[in-house]
Amino acid sequence: MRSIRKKEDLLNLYENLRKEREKQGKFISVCVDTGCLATGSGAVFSALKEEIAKAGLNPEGEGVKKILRGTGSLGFDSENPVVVIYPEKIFYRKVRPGDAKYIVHKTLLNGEIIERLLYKDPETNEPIPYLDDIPFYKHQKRLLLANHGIIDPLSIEEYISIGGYQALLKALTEMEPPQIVEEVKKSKLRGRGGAGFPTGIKWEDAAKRDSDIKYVICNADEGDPGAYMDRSLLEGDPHSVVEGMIIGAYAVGASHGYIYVRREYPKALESATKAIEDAREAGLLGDNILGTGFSFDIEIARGGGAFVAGESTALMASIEGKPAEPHTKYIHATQAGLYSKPTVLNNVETWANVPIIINKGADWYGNIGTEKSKGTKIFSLVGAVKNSGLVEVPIGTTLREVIFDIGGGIASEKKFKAVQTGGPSGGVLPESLLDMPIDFDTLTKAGSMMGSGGMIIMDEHTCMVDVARYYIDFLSKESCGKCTPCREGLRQMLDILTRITQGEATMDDLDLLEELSYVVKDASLCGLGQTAPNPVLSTLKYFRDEYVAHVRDKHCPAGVCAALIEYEIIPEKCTGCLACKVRCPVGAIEGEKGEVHKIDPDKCIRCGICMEVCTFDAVRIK
Amino acid sequence: MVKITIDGKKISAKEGETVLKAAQRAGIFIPTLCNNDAVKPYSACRMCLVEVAKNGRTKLVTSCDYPVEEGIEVNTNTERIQRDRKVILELLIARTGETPELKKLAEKVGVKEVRFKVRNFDDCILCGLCVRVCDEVVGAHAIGFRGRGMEREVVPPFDVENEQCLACGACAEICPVNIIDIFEHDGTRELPKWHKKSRLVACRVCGKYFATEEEIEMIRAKTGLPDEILYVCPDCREHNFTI
Ligand SMILES: Cc1cc2nc3c(=O)[nH]c(=O)nc-3n(C[C@H](O)[C@H](O)[C@H](O)COP(=O)(O)O)c2cc1C
Ligand code: SF4
Ligand code: SF4
Repeated sequence: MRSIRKKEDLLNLYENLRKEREKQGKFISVCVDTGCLATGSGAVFSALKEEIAKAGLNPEGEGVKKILRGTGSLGFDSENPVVVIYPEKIFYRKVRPGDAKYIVHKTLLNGEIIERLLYKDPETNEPIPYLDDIPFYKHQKRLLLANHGIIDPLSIEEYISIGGYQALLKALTEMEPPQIVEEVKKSKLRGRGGAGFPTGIKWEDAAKRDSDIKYVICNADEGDPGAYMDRSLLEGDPHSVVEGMIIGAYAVGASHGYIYVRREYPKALESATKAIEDAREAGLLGDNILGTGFSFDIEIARGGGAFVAGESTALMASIEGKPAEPHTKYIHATQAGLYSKPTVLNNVETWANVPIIINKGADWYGNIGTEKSKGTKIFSLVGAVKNSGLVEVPIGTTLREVIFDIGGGIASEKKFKAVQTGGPSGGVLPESLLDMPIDFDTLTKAGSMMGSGGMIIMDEHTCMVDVARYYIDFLSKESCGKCTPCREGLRQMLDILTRITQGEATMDDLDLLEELSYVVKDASLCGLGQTAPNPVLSTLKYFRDEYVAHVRDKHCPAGVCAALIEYEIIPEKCTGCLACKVRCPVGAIEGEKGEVHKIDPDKCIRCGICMEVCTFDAVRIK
Repeated sequence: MVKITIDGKKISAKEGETVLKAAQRAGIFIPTLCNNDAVKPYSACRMCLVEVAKNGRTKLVTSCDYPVEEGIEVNTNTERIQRDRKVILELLIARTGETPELKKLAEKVGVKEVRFKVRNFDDCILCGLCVRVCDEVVGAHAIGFRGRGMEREVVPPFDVENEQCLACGACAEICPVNIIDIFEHDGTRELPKWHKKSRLVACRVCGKYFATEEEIEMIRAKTGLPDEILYVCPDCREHNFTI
């Protein structure tokens, strides 16, 4: 591709590519990111390609004139693999390779809609042909995810053809660095990596430092289990992140950048690497970018392989080749960060916001969100919810809107019980808080946090003590072990929680658990330990009764904790079919064929197999 | 000079020094375990937490690495600090069992009983002093951390023959809970914890063993001193005895 040396080069290229792209308005898009591929979208893509070729067309098209695009994820994971036909945005779900010929012949060539592939409204059962009318999308505001579905992320031409790098052009040729910092400050953008620190203030502090070299870093370590928005952004629209970083580097005076990619993200690594190479070849990275005299380049760094490696000080140590271990940060990274030089570290999603703010302006951006938290946030909606996937909404949207309007509520007939936000060290919030707006401060005040945007929905069959135990178990294993409260404290918390779920704890243990939680929060060195007690403290706050039931009554109200439940057979429902009796691994079930069976509680090991195999719903938890 | 207050006492601290240093010079006790002047602060044991008030906001910091700033108000013994300290020490005792060193500190900070299950998991409190003295002072880099969470431990490289170790014993000297054993017999020095056995060198003047072969070689490599000096023990050298 032609090298872009000055402003006019980029403008001309954009004009040409845009026009060329418009010549092929109708195209099919298939999501081919890691998540989609796991559901078989790769085979669908190949089948479509074959069918398009058979129809005498060139599937790849020339340049940006494509008929078939492999794109980033559209986020509706429970309906994957998804195929969308533009420009109408006809939305096909759970597509199989065998559907390809119908999609090509009927929809692409003849404009016919294939009804059996459409999404159906769960209430009316009416098919909904167009993406924008589907509730999952209708209630979202997709700014960061806007390019997912419409560009091939591995092509810089595709990105430029839809206006990519125009924000960079504006920043470098029409704005002075302090003006950019001011704009980002005014936008009230806050870091999306978890803590919500105001990005503009961070940049301002780095910008004012005098140093021979400064760094910008993109944190793509994404260690939260269940969160994958950063992976999705890097795989689906890597140039938006690169563009954000170049603008940021110009604003603070950095000459060197790193994208720190999680070790387990091979595809994100590939697309980030390709984006950097292409941008460099095009002249958008390297020396004298757009002829402005500004030079900047980006390098990839591989993640340290542990959850804590995403913590800022551990991450920088890791880039320096040291063990990925946190240390205290009484001196900010913007003063002395990577190699003790002024450093701006931002999350993937934070960086991806920057081009939008520069393009549209802080005033426009300021209309989205709440007073103190602006813009949109991507959440990964998972668990007991009907529609799971990645959703992007304005900050300040309520939990209820996300879980019920977008998520469609609970997948089964069961009732909603709680939502866990903020990743493993977030808090668990009850139904009474569903109308709470989702923003950094409100979540923190409620004992949870925004974190990276994980959102796990739990139904009434979830035991809150068991949930807390699960997270503390995870975190105690992910603790780096450097400082006492986190290493030893989480271990002891796990001990107490385990005893509670086994009915062996006392009310004193409950008090000790609470006191210990506060100390671990107070005294731990880094953010991991400081937030780790949240799952315990929040469940103690909103579901204390459940703890007390375990401790005092030796009873697990949700019927989850194996040691505290008893299975029984309902005589009226039992047909004496023997199904449970033959499957019980310890022979705890008595009763002849045709007679009502009975479970001997002393023999029963509470494995629950009887309940699973009974076709008459005759086994229940007492 | 930087003016600060610690526990209500007005103190002139030196520019750039830590809160802990300033407190110690003023005779104010702050418990520590992983701190030692020989090496850089590590802020891992968290025993030295203090409250610092600045511009009307109070935060908890480790005094071992928090630099003094003009006008800060430090409190080393609030209820919150006392609670945190006691629990941290209880946690450590639950880890190691009651060792003499921790017992002494427990008495000092007022731990009456250990409410957690005592697991006797390991004697090492993971203060990292041995690792740091070996890295920063001796320069041998012979031991390091392995594993995370409760699995964390200090180990010699690869758990096999330890070639970097000089058997100098600096680690044993600095260990606050005295768990690094050194045995000397038949002209050898052994540090079983680091899988190290070394031959000792006798002074060519008085005949006493005074260093390991590795130590002599390290000094030779660094200084290029001749054998006449290298093989004379410090005592004899001091008295100007020569070979
Ligand atoms: C244990 C731990 C893990 C973290 N992991 C990540 C991560 O994977 N990605 C990330 O962007 N931030 C992570 N953070 C937050 C970073 O320390 C840092 O605040 C963030 O990258 C700053 O960028 P932002 O201001 O754009 O959010 C983590 C923090 C902690 C304490
Ligand atoms: S809080 Fe946990 S993860 Fe952070 S430094 Fe301490 S032990 Fe390591
Ligand atoms: S062996 Fe001693 S000095 Fe080394 S980490 Fe353990 S307690 Fe600290």
